[in-house]
Amino acid sequence: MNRREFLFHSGGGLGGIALATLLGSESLLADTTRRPDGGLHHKPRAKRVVQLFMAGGASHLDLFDFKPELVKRHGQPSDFGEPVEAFQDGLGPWLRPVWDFKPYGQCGKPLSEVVAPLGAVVDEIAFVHNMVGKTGVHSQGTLLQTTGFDRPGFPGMGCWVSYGLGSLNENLPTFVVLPDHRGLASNGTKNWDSAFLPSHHQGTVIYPSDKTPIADLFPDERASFVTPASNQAGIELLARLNRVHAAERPGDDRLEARIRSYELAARMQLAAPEALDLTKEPAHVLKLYGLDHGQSSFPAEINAVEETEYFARKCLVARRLLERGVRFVQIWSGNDNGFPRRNWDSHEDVQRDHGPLAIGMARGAAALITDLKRLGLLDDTIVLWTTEFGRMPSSQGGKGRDHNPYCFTNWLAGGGIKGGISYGPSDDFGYKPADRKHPTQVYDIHATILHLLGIDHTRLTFRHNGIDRRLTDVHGHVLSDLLA
Amino acid sequence: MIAKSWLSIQIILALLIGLLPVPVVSQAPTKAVDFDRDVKPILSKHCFACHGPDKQRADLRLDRKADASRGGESGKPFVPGKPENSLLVRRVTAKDDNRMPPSGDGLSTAEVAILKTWIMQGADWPDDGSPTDPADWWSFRPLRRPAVPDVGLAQWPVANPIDAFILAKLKDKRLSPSPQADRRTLIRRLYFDLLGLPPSPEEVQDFLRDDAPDAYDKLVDRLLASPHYGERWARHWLDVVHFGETHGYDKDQPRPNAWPYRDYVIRSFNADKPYARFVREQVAGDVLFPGTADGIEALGFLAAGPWDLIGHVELPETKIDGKVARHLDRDDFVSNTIGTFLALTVHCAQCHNHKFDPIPQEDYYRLQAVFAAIDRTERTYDLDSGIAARRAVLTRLTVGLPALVGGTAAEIVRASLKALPPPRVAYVGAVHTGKGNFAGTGASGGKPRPIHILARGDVTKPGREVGPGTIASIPGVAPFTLAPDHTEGDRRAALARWITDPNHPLTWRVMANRIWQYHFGRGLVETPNDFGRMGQLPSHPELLDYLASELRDHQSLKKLHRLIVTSATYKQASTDHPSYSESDAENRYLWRQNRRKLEAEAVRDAILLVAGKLNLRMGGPSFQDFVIEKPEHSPHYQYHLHDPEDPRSHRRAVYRFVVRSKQQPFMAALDCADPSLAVDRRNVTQTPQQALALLNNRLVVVMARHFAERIAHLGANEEERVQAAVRLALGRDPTPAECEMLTAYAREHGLANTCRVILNLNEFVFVD
Repeated sequence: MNRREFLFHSGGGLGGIALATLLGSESLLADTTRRPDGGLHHKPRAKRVVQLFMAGGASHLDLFDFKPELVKRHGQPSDFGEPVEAFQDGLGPWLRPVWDFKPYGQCGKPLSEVVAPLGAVVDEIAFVHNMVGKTGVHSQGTLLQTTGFDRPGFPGMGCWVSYGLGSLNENLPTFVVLPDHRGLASNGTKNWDSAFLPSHHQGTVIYPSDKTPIADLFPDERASFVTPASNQAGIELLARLNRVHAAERPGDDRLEARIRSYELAARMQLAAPEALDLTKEPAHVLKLYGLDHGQSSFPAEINAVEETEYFARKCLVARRLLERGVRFVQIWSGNDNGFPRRNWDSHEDVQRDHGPLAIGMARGAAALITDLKRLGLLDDTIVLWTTEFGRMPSSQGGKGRDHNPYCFTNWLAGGGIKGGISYGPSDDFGYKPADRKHPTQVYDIHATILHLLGIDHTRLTFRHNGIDRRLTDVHGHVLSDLLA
Repeated sequence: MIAKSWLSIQIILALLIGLLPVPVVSQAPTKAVDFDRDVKPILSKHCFACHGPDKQRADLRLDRKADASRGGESGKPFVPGKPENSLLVRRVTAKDDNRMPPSGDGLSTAEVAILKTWIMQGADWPDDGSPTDPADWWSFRPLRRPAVPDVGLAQWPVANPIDAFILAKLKDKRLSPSPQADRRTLIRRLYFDLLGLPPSPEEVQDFLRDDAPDAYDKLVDRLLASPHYGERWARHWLDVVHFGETHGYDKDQPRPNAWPYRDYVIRSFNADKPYARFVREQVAGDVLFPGTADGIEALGFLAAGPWDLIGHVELPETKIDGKVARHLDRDDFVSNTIGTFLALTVHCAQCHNHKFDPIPQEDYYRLQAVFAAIDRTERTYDLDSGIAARRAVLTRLTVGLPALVGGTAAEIVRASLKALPPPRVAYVGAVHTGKGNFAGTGASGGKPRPIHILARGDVTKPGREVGPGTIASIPGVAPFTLAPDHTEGDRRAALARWITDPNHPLTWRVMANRIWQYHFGRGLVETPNDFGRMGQLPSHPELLDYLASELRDHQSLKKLHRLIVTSATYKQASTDHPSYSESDAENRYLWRQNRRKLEAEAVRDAILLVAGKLNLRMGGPSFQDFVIEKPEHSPHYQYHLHDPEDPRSHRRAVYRFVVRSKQQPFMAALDCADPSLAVDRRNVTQTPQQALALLNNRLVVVMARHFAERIAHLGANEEERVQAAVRLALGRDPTPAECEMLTAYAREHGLANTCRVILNLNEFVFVD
């Protein structure tokens, strides 16, 4: 029995663990003691992660992975040279990228004009073009990218990072999720639930623009009887009564831990609104994120300004949270794959449905990278851009593309990632990896991120129902080519 | 744990040995080769990375004698005395793609020579303690009723056999039991334990006043007879079987007719249904107990878990993704059945033979074949067998009649059919008759789909087809065989009978352990869903076998509860004893009772109860404490739009509609079970999010106000009202100091605020 398990089972439950957490000694939790440099198994290059998730399946071909062959063969009947299983009817004629590409940065990476803002930071980015998934089903594909498993019941990557490394600021949640405010993606909260890990590792959902951005942060409006004075005095009374109760029951860490949890809650009530308050951000920063548009209402049709407002605002909030010690932020673009499309699932019309989302995403992501760099945070903050799968190089007979789980793109920046590179090319059509025997899988991305955080992905484990579970299951290799 | 620490010793040894110099060639050919000194370093250097403790490529593991002797996918690695026939030698010397290791320089000539000599000399591998027979494991041994130890302790009454087993172990560990808890503690413990609700102040008073020597036993009997007992214990069961009322995955659609299974479980616990029958109904109730509502509704067990609607409805079974979805679906049937009833991690065998337990991959797929005809589907049925018969006849007539006679007769038939009470509907695991991609097997009369062994669990690599079967190597219970003309139901019935065979070594132990766990906060086996080698060893193996024998022989869960809660062990105080907690910090040996934090459901129900708002109506469709937006595509379950004053939602939490894609945030903050995974034990955490939920959540603040309105009538002044509130919430009078502090606060900030404080007390959510 290792130390973590000992704590888990001590005191009749998680008392030990909770106390350790609350007393800021999370190092007790991991397999090995956390190192003075903040790593778990080796010296870390990064401390924080922000994951940008494009729900619905963002097209690598129209954003990041330029295929001149498709321009050349546009409209010709597609021929994959082998039988292909499409999710719907995705084997129409070859479809050229719906936007033009041109090179950016010193690396000269061709990017689609719809993500042009990312051109300014492209030298910070490492593209991985040979990602392969296991399925063209949204739910399983999404779970695979978020949790490393294609079925529900496994903790999200942010939960694992929280479990492994603990908090940098106990007044804020360790793992924050900023969902698309129009609805959750496939699997809902399963993408960030803690599953078998203790619940404080699960993603805390924040809707920055809502009246109550964090559930239950303040008394529900029905509690008109609660005033600041009654609340303050009530918390103090509660602590006094609880201390008497605990004093009569020595030797039970959980009682003290619960008293402390109320103190932390009170501190979170102060820290969270401050972290979410964008009014003190200077005009040049708001401009950087495209939040200087001056519009307060938007047309019914999906449009670029509105999408910029939504996505870039989340990026700015993420920066503020990361700056204040939140360990892992997950930002979602795109909701439930329904209609009208407010998601990346462009079966019908890539230009119409990817366009505004992509502009908003690129503006926000580029601003985030620039801003993190400006503040000196990019060096130890990893930015990961991902999606559940890519889209087919052929059309569905019209302007849309079907799912392509056989090949898609991820990109990473900051936190020890080598910028300005493109790793693992796809084939001439972006249909499958050029080297089919050596694709990149989500396990490799996860292993690499954990590696940069100072964690050996094979050693961050939690025993559940007889199996020592890992984020990377029994797979994963650190992508050393991506390391700076 | 033993397996794990043993493993790490192996790793350390292997590493240490790897550091030793490799013997030079002159030593090898003539001298006797010593395995540990000469051979193991070679294996360690070249093989363990892929065939060692961490990875077992091709199912081959070379760091332990037993595994190495058994071999892997390609067969046994060595034939003693015959190096030229030994795969090990052939592979390390191969000149083609087959060479091992696949990359690098490979073995030197000297190393190959050592291996050859070792095999030539008989391949002697000293015993390293690795298990030669995976079935040789405590939980697979026959279940025999152990003799009750003869122990005595003057100051501690041995109330029943449980105490004798506990006391024997305590003496062995030089520990002593704690005195009995006071009566007030006992009644609160017992109420939460058996009913999941706190006792009312009157019930506490009655019990305190009852001087009869059997006062406690009467209380136990009364609570076990309460219908709320079934509600409490059904919730535990629903955790284990991962019951949910939406499909999960994408487009998380509701299952409006899943609740009959929940009611079935409550009813079964309340009726003290024989455990074997409870098991049989859930696997094959339609076959073994035809014509009963229980026989149908119990099949909700099979359908309890998540279901991938897209993978079944939008994709045909012929596509890879469609195959994957159906494979995962059957995996859930198998894992849920074997995990729940037998606590084996059978799903580990879908890609390869189980690495630790005696479950070959073939057995896993045979289990899939048991469920190969069924899907998750709705089934209609009549509770009344007379009506069922009439409906069957009339339905047949509507098909056949119009052709035979005129329109009037047909109209009469249709009218008679309409006049019948509507049939009931339950979401269960059964043969499905549908259209399009999700057609099920109904059209072929429930003919099971062919099941193939999948190489590495990959649906694109089907191997040999296998028929229905079960885990063959569990001692004491022969695997079943079926006649060639058997039906799909026969498969499930055979599995159900096999699980409930009185000689099954696991079934009774597993359930006795679950029951024990919910009474003490920890099982005698701390891994209730894993009785295999990766699980924990029992702290009290004889006691577990005693309880399991009891269950097997009398089949009554209520008798088991009674035995446990009337033991002196159970009735101990939960007070700490510093010198004991030093030697047994986890209280594994039960020198005291465990103080327990209440589960989310118990906290919520207690809040509603003390506020005077809990509606104890039982059964029926679940209440929804959310509003569904956009139901047409992917329903958005919006908990924040629900009005906490809605009386329909003031029923017990076990009747809450359980959504998979978005857990109830308040309940999730309080560590409720995630319906997407089998939860054998709840996590117990104390987090700031939990504090915020209990302070600020709409349900709590609304109930604090109702609580205040209730106590406003229960006293002439603030002090009396505060006393009433504490009595309701904690089952005791406040101390003078507490009373003074609370009353002062109430005078300044009002009763609603005071009640909010009381609902947040540690004492409100912990049971001593």
